[in-house]
Amino acid sequence: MSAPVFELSGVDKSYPYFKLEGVRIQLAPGQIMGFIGANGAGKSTTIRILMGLIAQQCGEVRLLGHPMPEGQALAKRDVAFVSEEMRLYSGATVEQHMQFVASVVPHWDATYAQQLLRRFNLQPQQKTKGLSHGQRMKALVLLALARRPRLLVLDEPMTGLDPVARQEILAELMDIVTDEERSILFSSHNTQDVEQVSDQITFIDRGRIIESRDKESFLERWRRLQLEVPAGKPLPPFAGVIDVTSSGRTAVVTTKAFTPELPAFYNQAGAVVREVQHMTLEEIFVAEVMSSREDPS
Amino acid sequence: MNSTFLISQADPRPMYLQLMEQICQRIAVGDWPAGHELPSIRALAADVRVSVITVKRAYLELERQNVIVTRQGKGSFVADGADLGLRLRSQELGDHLRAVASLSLLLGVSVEELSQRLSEMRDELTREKP
Amino acid sequence: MSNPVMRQFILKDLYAVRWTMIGALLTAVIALAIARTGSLGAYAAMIFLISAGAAPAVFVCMFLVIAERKEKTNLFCLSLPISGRQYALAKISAAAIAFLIPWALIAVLIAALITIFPVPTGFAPFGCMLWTFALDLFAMLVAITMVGESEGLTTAGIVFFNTSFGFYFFIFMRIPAIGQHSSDAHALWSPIVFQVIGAQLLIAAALIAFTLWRLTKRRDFI
Repeated sequence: MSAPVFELSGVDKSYPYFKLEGVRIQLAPGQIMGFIGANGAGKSTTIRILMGLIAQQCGEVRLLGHPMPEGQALAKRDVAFVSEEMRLYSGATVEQHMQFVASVVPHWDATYAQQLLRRFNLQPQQKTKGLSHGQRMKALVLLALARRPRLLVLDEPMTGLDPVARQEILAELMDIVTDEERSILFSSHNTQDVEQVSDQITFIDRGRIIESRDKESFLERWRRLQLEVPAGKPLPPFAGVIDVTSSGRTAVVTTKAFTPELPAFYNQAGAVVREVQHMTLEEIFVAEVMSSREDPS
Repeated sequence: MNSTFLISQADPRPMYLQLMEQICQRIAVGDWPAGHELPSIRALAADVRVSVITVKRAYLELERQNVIVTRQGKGSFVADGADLGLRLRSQELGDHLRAVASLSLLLGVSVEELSQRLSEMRDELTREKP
Repeated sequence: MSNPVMRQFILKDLYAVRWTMIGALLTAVIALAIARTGSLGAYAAMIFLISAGAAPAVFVCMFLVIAERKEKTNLFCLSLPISGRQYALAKISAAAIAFLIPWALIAVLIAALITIFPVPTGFAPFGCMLWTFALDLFAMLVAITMVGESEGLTTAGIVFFNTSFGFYFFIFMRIPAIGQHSSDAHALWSPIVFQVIGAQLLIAAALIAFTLWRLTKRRDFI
């Protein structure tokens, strides 16, 4: 088992109106982690702490084995970071940015950079102030990918992008997947951006990590059951069931620990299982968040 | 560049199942004959734009069903007789359909009703599958 | 190991403000050209020269520090292999170089010209005081923009910068040793001149030291 690409444990950070508490996440090499949370949940703060841009108030952070924030100059040699908030120098051209980045990073793949220019349809001589939002994100992604980083950190990269630009960027990101030593951390407030390609999923809400596990595990353990309940009879509890919503004789049960015994259990209790559905990652996310907000333990 | 595999988020079935089905299709029609080497997990993940873990799961399931064989350090290959097996199953389906068609004609069941009942049956089976 | 990286950052910043440096030099050259065209020329020359020497302080701080923070290009910079502290240090270095090069060159130019040409040099002591005062203003702006992160403070700093020259003249010209001899043919280097210049240099150094000290304590760079 090789060393994790990054590790945060017990990380706290307080601001006047926001607190990040007990953040604990790690990623094994060769994986993609989808980091999902509503706006203001703490994704950007966590990512900035990971990159050493902000210092944690307590807890340990390691990026490619380097302690953060002290080791950030070394760590960032192999880590590239793109954030939706990031801007380029408006008076300089795309080419000038490429030259600047190439001059400060240890690995710059000039051939690949040229390929990306063509694929993204970016003009090297164009000043960045003339770039649309989509083109700017593509330029930032180009500058990150051409560095051939071991870890690529993306903070809301797809936000505000048209579907075509999104696919263009996604196609290039998948190139990283073919290398089992390279990883991606990808944050979004939108599960769909992240769901398809992520190996690991981490949910964050109100400054706390709610859940972090592999995606298939999420999709396998969560189910929604539609039941027909005899009138007046409350449903008996079952481990893992986190929500029961009833309306007349119909009940919808949401469980985070589905086993094949569950439908049988309800049948025995006198209910009829009409349907057992898988849940989308978005539905799982909302259910996790609601459940954690009601019981923040 | 688009992949010839198509994973749809609109499809309610889990992605790994969709992938398995499409792999089986290729085997059944003969595009991937017995002994054919499957793309590496990472290459396929990148090509189809799904997570590595999804492809891993699909490959594991296919191996469990003896459709493919994974050799440590060498890769995954279409199992001997896998294509045959799938083609046989496909043929079996054809035979069953023939029987259903003739029975429905006999009983005067319309195509629409047939379709409806088939659809319901499939849904029921999908539900039951854990 | 990161020094090559810091060097690239400094070069990038210097390139970004090259027109400020060139502009200052050109303004100084023009000023010196018109200096001998009568008393209006001399007066205009003085104003242009002070601008050429001091104004880059404002441009450099606004352009290198404030703009980068506002436009979030600092996020882009910090995504590269440089620590927050190195980035800040590279900024201060670039700002200092961008300010000092024209400042020093113009001073040398003026000194050369008044040595070569037969001009009255009575203004020289006060000129030196004023010229080193520009260093203080620069150091103050660096401290305000790098340490204080409020727009209000920056605006106050710029207002102070603009109005300070007037006050400077007012305060120091009333000192007889300076004010009464500034139009003489020969310079009068009284002790008070050296005291003021010395104090100004110390203040500039103290302000920069303070800035650097505060930066070593900073933990959040965004």
